[in-house]
Order: sequence, then C-alpha cells, then structure tokens
Amino acid sequence: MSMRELVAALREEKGRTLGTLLGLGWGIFAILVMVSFGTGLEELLQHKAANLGPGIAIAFPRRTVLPHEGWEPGRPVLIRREQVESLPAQVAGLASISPEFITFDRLWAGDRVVRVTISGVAPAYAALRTWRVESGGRFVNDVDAAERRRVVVLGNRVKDLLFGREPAVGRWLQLRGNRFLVIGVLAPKLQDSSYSSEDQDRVCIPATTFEEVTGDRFVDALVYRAGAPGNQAQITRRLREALARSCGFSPRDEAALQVWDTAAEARMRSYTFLGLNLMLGGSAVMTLMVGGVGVANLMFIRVRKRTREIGILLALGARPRSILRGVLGETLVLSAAGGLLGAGAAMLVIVGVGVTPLIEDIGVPRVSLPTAAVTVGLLGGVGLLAGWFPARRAAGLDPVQALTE
Amino acid sequence: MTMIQLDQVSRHYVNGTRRVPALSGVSLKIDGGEYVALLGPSGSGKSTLMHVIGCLDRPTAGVYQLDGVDVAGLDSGSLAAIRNRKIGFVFQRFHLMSRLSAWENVALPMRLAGMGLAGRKARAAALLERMGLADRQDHRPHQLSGGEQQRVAVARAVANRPPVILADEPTGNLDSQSGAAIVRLLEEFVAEGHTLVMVTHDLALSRRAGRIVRLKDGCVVRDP
Ligand SMILES: Nc1ncnc2c1ncn2[C@@H]1O[C@H](COP(=O)(O)OP(=O)(O)O)[C@@H](O)[C@H]1O
Ligand SMILES: [Mg+2]
Repeated sequence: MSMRELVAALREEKGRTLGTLLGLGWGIFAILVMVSFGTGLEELLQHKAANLGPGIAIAFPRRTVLPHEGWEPGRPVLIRREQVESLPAQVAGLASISPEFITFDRLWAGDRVVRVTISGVAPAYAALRTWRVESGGRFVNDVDAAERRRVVVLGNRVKDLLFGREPAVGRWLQLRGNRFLVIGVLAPKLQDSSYSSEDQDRVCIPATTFEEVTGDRFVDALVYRAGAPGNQAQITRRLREALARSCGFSPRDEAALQVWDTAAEARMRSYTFLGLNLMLGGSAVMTLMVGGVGVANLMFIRVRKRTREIGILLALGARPRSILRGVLGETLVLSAAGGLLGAGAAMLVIVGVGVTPLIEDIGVPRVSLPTAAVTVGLLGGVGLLAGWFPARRAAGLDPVQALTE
Repeated sequence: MTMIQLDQVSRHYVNGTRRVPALSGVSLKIDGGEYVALLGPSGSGKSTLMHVIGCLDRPTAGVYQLDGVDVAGLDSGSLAAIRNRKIGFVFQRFHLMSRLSAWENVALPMRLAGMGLAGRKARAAALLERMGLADRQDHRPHQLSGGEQQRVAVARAVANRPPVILADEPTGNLDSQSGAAIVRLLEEFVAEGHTLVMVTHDLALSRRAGRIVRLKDGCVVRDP
C-alpha cells in the first residue's frame, strides 16, 4: 500500500490515529526530555567539579588515632615541604603533586585591605587545581620557588577588591610587612566545591616564600593526581605508606591522613546519574510501550476493516508475506510519525530551556548521540512488535473467508 | 490440451462438530480454450469448486492439476504466484479496491507481478478502452455504475493475460442488459484462446457456452 493510500485510509480514522500518534509521541517525548535533562545536569556538575581540579585528590594531615611503635594515639601528623617533594621518587605512578600551606591574613594595596586565604604552593599546583591565569600574567614558577621570591597570584575577586578595574599585574602588595609583586590574576571559573575558600577569594605564593614569611614549617594539604585514571586509590595507598614511614604513623591509620579523592567522587556521581537516567528513561520506556499497545490496537482495527481488501489482494496474487510486510511497513511509518511528533515537541522544550537562565542551575539539557540512537532503536523495536501481531493475522487470513467480509 | 483436471476432488467444511461436504468427489477435465458454464442450485458447491480451481482454496481430498501442475504440494507463496499469473477472477460482488481509481484497480495484478509503472499504466488504459471505459480511467468504483464496475473487474481479471478466467455469477448483481454485455466481453477472451469457466443461473446465457456442467449437492450430475 502506497503512502498516499495509507494517508487516505488513516484520514477515515482521524481520531483514533491522532490518539495513537500522541500516545507514541508522548513516550518519545518523555524519554528524550528526561534523559536530556539528566545529561545536562550531569555535565554541569562534572564541569564544576573539574574546575576544582580534574581527578585530583587532596590529603590533609590530621592526628593519629592508632598507637604506633610505642607512641600514643592523638599525635599530630607533621609533614614538611621537602617530604612532599621527595614523594614522586617513592610513589610510582604519582604524576603530579604540590604541597599547600594555608593561612588567613591581611593583604594591603595602598590604603585598601582585604582578609584572604593565602596558599603557599608549588608550580604544579596551577595544573592540578586549574588555576588558569589571565593573559598578561603568569603563575608561580620554579625560579620563584628556588629564590623564594615575593610574588603573588590573585584570585579574581581579590583583585577586584584591591584594584577594581585597573590592571593588577606589576603592582605591589603588603603581606606581613613584606612587599609582594602581583604576577598574575586567576581567570574567573565555575566551581561548586572547595576547601577553606573559593579560588576567586584566595591568593597563591610560592611555598618556599610562605615558609620564610610565616615561619610555618608543616604543610596543611597535599594536592596530587595519579598518572593514569583509575589507579588513584592505589596511588593514595602508596602515598599513605610512604608518609607513614617518614612521619611515624601506622599505614593502617586512615584518620592520620584524611584523603578527599575527587576522582572517586566523580565515579560515584556518574554511577548515580547512570542509575537516575536508567530509572527515568525506564519509566519513559514504559510510556512508550503503552503507546506501542495503542499502535498495535490501531493496526488490528485496520486489518479487520481491510479484511475484504486483503482478500482481494490475495485473490489477485499477493503473497501472504507481502501482506505481512505491508502491515509492518504501515506500522513503522505510523511509529515514525509518532516519534517525529514526540521528538519535535521534546526538542522545543530542550532548546527552549537551553536559552533560559535556568541552565546555570540545571545545566544545558542535551540529547547525546547514544541517547538518540537508543531512542530510535526503541521506537523501531516497539513499532515492529506492535505491527508483528496484526501483520501475522493479516497474512494468515483465509482468502475465501476474507472475500466474504 | 488439458488445462484443468480434477480427480475425485472433495472439500468439506467443519461446522462445529458437523462435517459439511461442499464438494464430494468431483472429477472434471477442462481443455485450454474451453468455454464452460457451471450450473446448479444454490449451495450445490459451485463457488467452492471455483475457489479450488482458482487456487484460493485447497481440496481436502483428491488431486487437482492446473496446467499439468499438482497444486497440492505448493506453499501459499507459490499458490499466490499461480493466482497472479494463471487465474483471472471475476466475482459477483465486483470486489474492486474502493480507494483505487479504475486504472489502478486494473493495474493491481500487474503491480503484484512486478511490472513497471509506465507499462501497467499503458496496458490498463488499453484494457479500459477496450471495455468502453476510456473516459472512466480515473473514476473511483463508487463513481461507476454496477455494469461499469464489473467491466473494470473483467479488465483486471485479464490484466496479466492469465490462461484461465473464472467468473462466479458475474451477472448476478447486474440488470440483464449490462449482464449480457459482460458475458459478451468475456466471450471475446475465449475467442482469443483463454479458458473461461462461468457460474450462472441464467439458462439463456449458459447455452452460449460450449459445455454445460451441472452440480448438485457437491457432485457433478451432468457433464455431456
Ligand atoms: N465457510 C463455510 N463454512 C461452512 N460451510 C460452508 C462454507 N462455505 C460454504 N459452505 C457450504 O458449502 C456448500 C457449498 O457452498 P457454495 O460453494 O458457496 O455453493 P454455491 O456457490 O453453489 O451456492 C453449502 O452448503 C454451504 O453452506
Ligand atoms: Mg456461490
């Protein structure tokens, strides 16, 4: 049966056809909208998390809770910068590490003053914690570290508070009676997790300079990343063992060195979202199935109404198999029409939401290629299944019986 | 040359627990090019016999050979192909496709045979012209009179030049004048070598046939 004949025939069933198309379209709409919003939110959270530092782990020295080699529990774990610097030689697979000293103090620019978090870090910190510096500036480098230079990189909000819209690079600041040269400003970034304070409210100076200016000798945190993704837990274990040896705490003492592994966190998040998408998508698929039952019902009605026509076709020499194919084809065309309807409506919603300010909180909803492929596959599957039984009935009709209808 | 050969063909229906014999041991031999009128009271099995001959139905017993082929062993696809190539049906109720125009109805068997659009359009036009329906090509069945519809059906029956034309009471739903016209058209195809088997109640019409076969209670009672 040609397209034109199909359309003409369905016109006679306007109400029922429209209802069926809407039923199927609703299923497709539900799948696409639910999964695309899930995808958008996941991508937003992933992006924000990556701005803390993609796949990094942060270790904080705390107090021991297990007795070790005669020492009572409750001793503070004290780690020096030099110990951190020697870790890459001891821990195989450790790609990058930076110590971080943290303090809170006043920063003066002329008569303006702000209280900020001050981090003493190694040059590797920039890549680990995605400190991208605005053009015209730079981050702390090896020479700064070796010569204990008085240089500072500002968080973008700190810069705004001290210098307003004026350029900051090349200007001087006062910190604990020392003059510091501003060498860079952080490029603004989205961030949804942090420790001590958001990066825009912090400043970074060389770890060596920090030691000299503050007299502090023990690091507050270690920021590091494994070379290959997936073996961070192993790296963390080796790093804990190395530090346990050199600092004298039990390698089984989890509390002595508290580790925040964002890679593990990201993995958890992606599992959570996979589960969420499967659940939402699954319930949407059920909706699609209900739509499929509607299609099957419509096709059964069409076959019954067309029984005499099918009898005529058989009498003229149509093969039962071509009758089967005809009904299946009609069902697929119907399914495609319903799918287009649903996909069109879904795209309106998805694109519509994508241009509203809502996206800052829920992300940009997006239909990924796998989602689209699976949806088309599901629609085709539902269409085939919905068409199969009516098609079998049509192809199995007895020609003589059908002609008497 | 034998075109249709039935040996002790029976066809019975099962109606609940009752066995209804529609044909009981019919033996019949029809040569190519013959013009046979099939007579008999209502319920005597004429339509059933036509369906068996036309491969729309299978006998429950006996052997049926069409053009030398025993159809008992053929699957439904092969039977469909035989109906398409070797049989042309004309029914009492016309059985045209209501959504198709006259020429599309005539072209349908050609379409099923896989003929191209241009070829079947040309042949459909030629056949309809021969049926006196040159100006009715694009009419739908409901826009045609009964006689015109049956002429479209005749054109459709001969579209693939089948050796056998089966007409089951082709004049049953027509007035005598258009009925006679239909029979004359069918007879033209006999003159061209087609085999025609026609069921009729009209004795005058049946006398024009070369041979009259009478059925009663599913049996051939007279076949001179
Ligand atoms: N589908 C059927 N189920 C049961 N009995 C049938 C069926 N079709 C035909 N018959 C019976 O078979 C006999 C022959 O019918 P048919 O061939 O239509 O006769 P005719 O065409 O000569 O009037 C009748 O008794 C009829 O009731
Ligand atoms: Mg009859």
